[in-house]
Amino acid sequence: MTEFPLLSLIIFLPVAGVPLLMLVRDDGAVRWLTLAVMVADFLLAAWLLLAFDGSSSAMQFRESADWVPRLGIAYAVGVDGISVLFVFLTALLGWICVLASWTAINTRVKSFMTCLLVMQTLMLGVFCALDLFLFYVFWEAMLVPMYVIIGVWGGKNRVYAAFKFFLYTLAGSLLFLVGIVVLYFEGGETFDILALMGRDYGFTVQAWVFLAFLVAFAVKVPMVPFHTWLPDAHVEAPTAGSIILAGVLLKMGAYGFLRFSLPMLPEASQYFAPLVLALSAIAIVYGGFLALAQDDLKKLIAYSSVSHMGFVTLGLFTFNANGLNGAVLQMFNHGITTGALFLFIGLIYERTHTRRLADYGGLMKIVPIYTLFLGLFSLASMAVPGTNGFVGELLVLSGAFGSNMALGAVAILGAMLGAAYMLRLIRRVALGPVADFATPPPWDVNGREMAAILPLAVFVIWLGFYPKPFLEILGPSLDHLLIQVVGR
Amino acid sequence: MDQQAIIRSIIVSSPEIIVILGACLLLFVALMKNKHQMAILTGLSLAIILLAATVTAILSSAPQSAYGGIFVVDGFAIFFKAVFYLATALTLLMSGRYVVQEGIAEGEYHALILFALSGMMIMASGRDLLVIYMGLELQALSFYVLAGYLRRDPKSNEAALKYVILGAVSSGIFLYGLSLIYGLTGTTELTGIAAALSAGEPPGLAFVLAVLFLITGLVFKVGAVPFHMWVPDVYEGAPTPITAYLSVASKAAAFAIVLRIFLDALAPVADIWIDAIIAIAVLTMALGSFVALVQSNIKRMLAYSSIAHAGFALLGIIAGGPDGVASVMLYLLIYTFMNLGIFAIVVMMRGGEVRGDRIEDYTGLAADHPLWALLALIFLFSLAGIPPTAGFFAKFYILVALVQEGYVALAVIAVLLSAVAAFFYIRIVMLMYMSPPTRRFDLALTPSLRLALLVAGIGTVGIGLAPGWFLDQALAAGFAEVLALAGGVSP
Amino acid sequence: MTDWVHPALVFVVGALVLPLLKGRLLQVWLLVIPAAAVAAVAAMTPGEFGGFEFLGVRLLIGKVDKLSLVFAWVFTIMAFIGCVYSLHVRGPAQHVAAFLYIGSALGVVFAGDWFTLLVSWEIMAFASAYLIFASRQAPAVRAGMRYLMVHITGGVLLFGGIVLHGMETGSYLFGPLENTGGLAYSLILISFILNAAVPPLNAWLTDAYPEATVTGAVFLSAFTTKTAVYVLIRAYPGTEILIWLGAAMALYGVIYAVLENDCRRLLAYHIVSQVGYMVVGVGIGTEMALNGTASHAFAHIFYKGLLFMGAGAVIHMTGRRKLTELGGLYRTMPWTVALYMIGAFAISAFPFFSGFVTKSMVIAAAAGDNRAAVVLMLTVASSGTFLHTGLKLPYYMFFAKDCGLRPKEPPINMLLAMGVAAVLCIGIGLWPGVLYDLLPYPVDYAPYTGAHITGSLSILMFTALGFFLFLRSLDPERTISLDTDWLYRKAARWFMWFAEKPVARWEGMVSGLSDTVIWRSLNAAARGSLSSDRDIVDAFVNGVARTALAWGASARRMQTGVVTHYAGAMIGGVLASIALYVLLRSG
Repeated sequence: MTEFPLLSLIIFLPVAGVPLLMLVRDDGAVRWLTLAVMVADFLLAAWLLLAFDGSSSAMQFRESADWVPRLGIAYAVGVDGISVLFVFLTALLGWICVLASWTAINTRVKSFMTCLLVMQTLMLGVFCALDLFLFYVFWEAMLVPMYVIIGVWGGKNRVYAAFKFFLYTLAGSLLFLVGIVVLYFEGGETFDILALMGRDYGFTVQAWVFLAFLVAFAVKVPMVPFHTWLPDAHVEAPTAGSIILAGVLLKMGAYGFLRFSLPMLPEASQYFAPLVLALSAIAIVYGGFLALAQDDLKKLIAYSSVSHMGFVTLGLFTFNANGLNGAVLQMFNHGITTGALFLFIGLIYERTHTRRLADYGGLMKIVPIYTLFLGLFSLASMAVPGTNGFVGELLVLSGAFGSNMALGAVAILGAMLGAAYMLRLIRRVALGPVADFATPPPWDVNGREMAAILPLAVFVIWLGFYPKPFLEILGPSLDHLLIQVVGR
Repeated sequence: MDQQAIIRSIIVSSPEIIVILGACLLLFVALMKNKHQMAILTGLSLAIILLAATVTAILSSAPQSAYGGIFVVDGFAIFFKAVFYLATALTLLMSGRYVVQEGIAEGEYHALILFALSGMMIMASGRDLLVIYMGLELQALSFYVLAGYLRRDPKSNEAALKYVILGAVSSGIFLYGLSLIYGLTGTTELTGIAAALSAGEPPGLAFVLAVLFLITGLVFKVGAVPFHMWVPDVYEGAPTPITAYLSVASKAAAFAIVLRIFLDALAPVADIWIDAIIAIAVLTMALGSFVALVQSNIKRMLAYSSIAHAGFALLGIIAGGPDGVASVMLYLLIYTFMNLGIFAIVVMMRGGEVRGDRIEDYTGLAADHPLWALLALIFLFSLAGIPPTAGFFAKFYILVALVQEGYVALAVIAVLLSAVAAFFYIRIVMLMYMSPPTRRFDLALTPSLRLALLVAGIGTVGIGLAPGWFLDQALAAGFAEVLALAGGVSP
Repeated sequence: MTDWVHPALVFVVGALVLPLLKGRLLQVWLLVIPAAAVAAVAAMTPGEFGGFEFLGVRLLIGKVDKLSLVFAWVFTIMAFIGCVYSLHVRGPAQHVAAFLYIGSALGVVFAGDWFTLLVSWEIMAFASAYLIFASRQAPAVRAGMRYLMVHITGGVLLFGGIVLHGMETGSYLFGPLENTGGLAYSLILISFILNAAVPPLNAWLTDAYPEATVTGAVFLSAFTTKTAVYVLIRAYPGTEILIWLGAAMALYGVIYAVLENDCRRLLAYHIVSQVGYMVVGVGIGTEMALNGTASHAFAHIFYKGLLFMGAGAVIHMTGRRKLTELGGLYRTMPWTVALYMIGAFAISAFPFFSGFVTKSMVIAAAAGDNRAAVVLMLTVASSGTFLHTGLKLPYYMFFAKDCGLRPKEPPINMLLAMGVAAVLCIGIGLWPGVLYDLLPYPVDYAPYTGAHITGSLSILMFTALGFFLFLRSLDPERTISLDTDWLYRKAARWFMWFAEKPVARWEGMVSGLSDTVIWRSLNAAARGSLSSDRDIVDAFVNGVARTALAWGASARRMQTGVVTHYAGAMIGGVLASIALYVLLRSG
């Protein structure tokens, strides 16, 4: 590890900011300090993305040091084409979260920002970890700050939501832990992810471990029927919390499939693929219908996430290049788009203090700029051509058709539903007669909020028209993965 | 036994001697009253513990035995003694203001704690059932008294009484098993018993009874189902620092002898006791976790939580082998830190007119005292086994040991139950963080208590982040013990 | 030439005999003749037949190769279907005309020389014109006259072109025309694209077809334009201009259809649009493209016939043609609706319907030729096709508001004919191989690839969504006037639509959205899943939690606080552990 430990810096910079927070007194300073740390982290992540060599599928920027040698546990980090994207996404959403909670959070600001920073470190760690134990530590530790964020700064029903989130995910990941330990012994007493990928496990072992992993990841993704924590958590969480949940946390389940289930347990993955595909198809349609039935903005988006993540898992388990590329791209897109949508709900909620669709109407008249961008992101979430959503979804769909016609048909129905509920949202919120709001208009987005919105908008368009660079970064790693899954 | 053998024996057992003499000294000091008495006594007892610790450290160079092999100082014993010293010191640190408030600031308090310590040290070092029993009773008696130390509080008296009676029952069972063993193998020395068993023909029913009696006598001290009934009542009734001490030190001591006897003497006949232990472990975890869900008194809740933890630790014994032993030992070390930590918080809440042992009393603590709330949060999440706290690693290592021996099903049950257990820990976090304060807190914060909290906190986080070294220590000690299975340390 | 029966001859003979027959016999004859023709085609082998010298010019009546066979097959089969459809028509006149029309079309298909072609061409014009006259209303007669004039003019141009061509080359054998840009070249091309109804020379078609008799329209929709396509394939493969004309056609027909109110005129515009695809194929001229054209013509004849039969059935039963006057017929004409929808899906190129396997071939050929713009235009057009024939027309004709009419299902023979056509539409879609084998060139093209299905389906779905969103703004025009002022009228309307408060518009749309069947069912499903989510999935989760608490509470009661109970429990524990050993280990 003679080279500069860029990854460790990126991972631990946010948490390193916490002591600094303790020094400053007033909330304004706390906000600015947090923002500074997050932006710095983001710049580092951007640098990482640029410095990343997209032509190879190997892990890059690797660092490793012994941690618990007796058990073969090491502090090992590194990124490949898949994880580097998510490191970038996480870093991007990081400072957007700070901006989103600039005025929304005005009680116990310091604690909140601390939670955000800790959260940031843990999430980045999850995407970088190359050691299964390390991964699990990051993965599980995330529950704590998230639990606090939801429970302390959340809405009316926050306690229930926080509990549900915590216990639900905990129960899932504890099975994951047992699976890890089993894998540890089957794979020759090491937690080194790459080494574990190399091993060839018996089918029975694979099957059991796969199921254990499946529960954990299915809860995180979330896949039907493990999804019910999501709407509660989303609805109760503060804006930043929702952004993190939708933008990053949900990706981790899918990331788990990519990192562990597929490459380490290929036979089991193929054996259980029909199950996962079925669940995904159900999630797509079911989630779509649920979103259609919502009267609460956040719930609507939350359920739409269920549907969208259905597309992701669908793509993952088609085991063909299109599907995988689409899935990963869709993960990234969903992070951007849904994150943005939650941001927008947060913005309007700050002004109107209501999230009921029925209370809205005619925003187009009073907040044109807001409506414009809201429309843009809604289109992206509808996967209208020219937005990032379309590219990902089309890839996934073609992947799905590649593996099974019926699946594709279901997925298309899901896409239709997606368009339906987003249009419904737009109509109710942006159009129609102007509703009478508690705080009198006009109050359009201000500069700070714009600063948070614009980068997301840029990515929506960029990915919509020119996804090539991203796909190029993904390409080699996914091909490698594909070989690991079906190549045996 | 010649002159210099005796001298050597005395040297080897000097830590125990120091502690006992120190305890007597404390009794005298307690007689001379002055207003700094508390401070003096605390300082004095801490000094004694320090002295004993240093001597132990000096002795730790090589395993050695005394009194003809019935008393040893090996890595195993030293590890546990370290745990006892730590627990005792922390208990004394957190006792300071509490005992004053409860008006029990008499000298015997410290003396009794030290007597208990010496008893546990003897348990850890004993290689002979009788020696072990002696130590057991010594610490038990001290604890009987300590549990009832709040004379004016009927709950405390009731607790003491129950503890005495049930303790007597368990001792009876244990003694009965002991005598049976002696009758069957002709020795009470562990190595001897082991040898007799590995040599002897398949054991008869009498022997089975003997073994099971021994076990049941011991798991009483651990507080395992169905021998746990005393735990909640005693924990609730006893003075909080004593509860803490009881939940950590005496449990550790009990585990020490359980490890010694089961994995040393009774290892050859594992199939007699393994099923019983498995059943007991699962029941213990389940009952502890579920009943704790519905407690409203934090001391009772922690009592059940300690029951659940005992169940989890028993899994390590089921696993057996070097990793099994080490996992249990590490678990106990970590448990010492986190449990004393949370009890220190409970003591801290005992301020003003508020008893501070109702869970509601914690409502909104975080708003007024973020730092202490944060510490409490760390302890609670550690107890729940959430990384990166030490509690997680403790559980993790036990799981590793289990899976290694192929008990995957047990591992699954264990993790699911600990998911249930997580609920009541984070419930307190919820109260502390997510509800507005309903009252002004005046916390019983003394410098010593702060110190105790700090140490516990550092231990909980530190071991979580860097478990490697402690793991190696535990393994070394555990190996020593497991090696002893072969021939035992040469007398 | 005994070894070979020209199917045209069959029809001519049939036509001569027809007037002598009545009633049942007539009907039998109507079935026998097309059947015989089909048989004749089936018996046919590639080759050249009936060649002879005439005025020192070598003529060739029968030139049989794979290309002509494809068209012969579809023509004869369609003839059969058409006859079945028109069985109920009393009196021979229409049938005679129909037979001559079909016969002459077949004449064109097998024509080996320009003169044979010309003759058949003219007969075709007259025979078909009669099918329009036959409906005997004033507008029909006028439309028929216009139709006839146009075609005679076209015939004259063709004649001139042929003579010129003959003088240039000295040969009258029918084949690809070399000297591009020559006068002959242009004249013939014009007359052909006139018959193909290439805009702006398409007025005759959309003007006349809707006026034709119910049965006549079915034949018309099948033959005239397709023969034109056929001769284009023969004479003008790979002519650049045709690509752009075709693409324009494809869009043109669709855009026009926006305004349409008369159901059959709407369909007529879609003939223009569909033929556009074929013309594009001819223009591209690669083997794949020509295959595409031929196959698309093949499929098109059936589904377009089916659509016309469906619309015809409605007209036949209700006597109304305007969408605004129809609606809610699905109650009483379910079969007609079902069969019509099959045709609609086919023309919209839904997967597993005939349109999909043929249209896609043309588009693929265009793509293979790197003509992105063309591909785009054709794609848009196909979405438009679905919008109108697949959604708008059936919606207003069969669903939408109830027009109060309660017509019965059409006569059985109509339904039968439609059934046969429908079967063919689906059959081709399911087993494209059969059709592909007929094609002039070897086919290496798989329609059912994932990306392909995805692409088309998502386009269609978004079209459908858009339709139900914008329902109100698609209301058919009450007018039937069809001058070229449509552009600014429509443009103005759209402009107004955006300018005048979009709010109200949206409201309109969404009320439209919600009062359609689909939206209601969607909502129902949504509410259903919501309740299931709350009452089943989530209830289960909370149930687990509650059970855990319940267990805790019950287990708590064991803690009686009575010391003797505790001691008892301990003793019990000892006994239990002994029992456990006895059970598990001993023995």
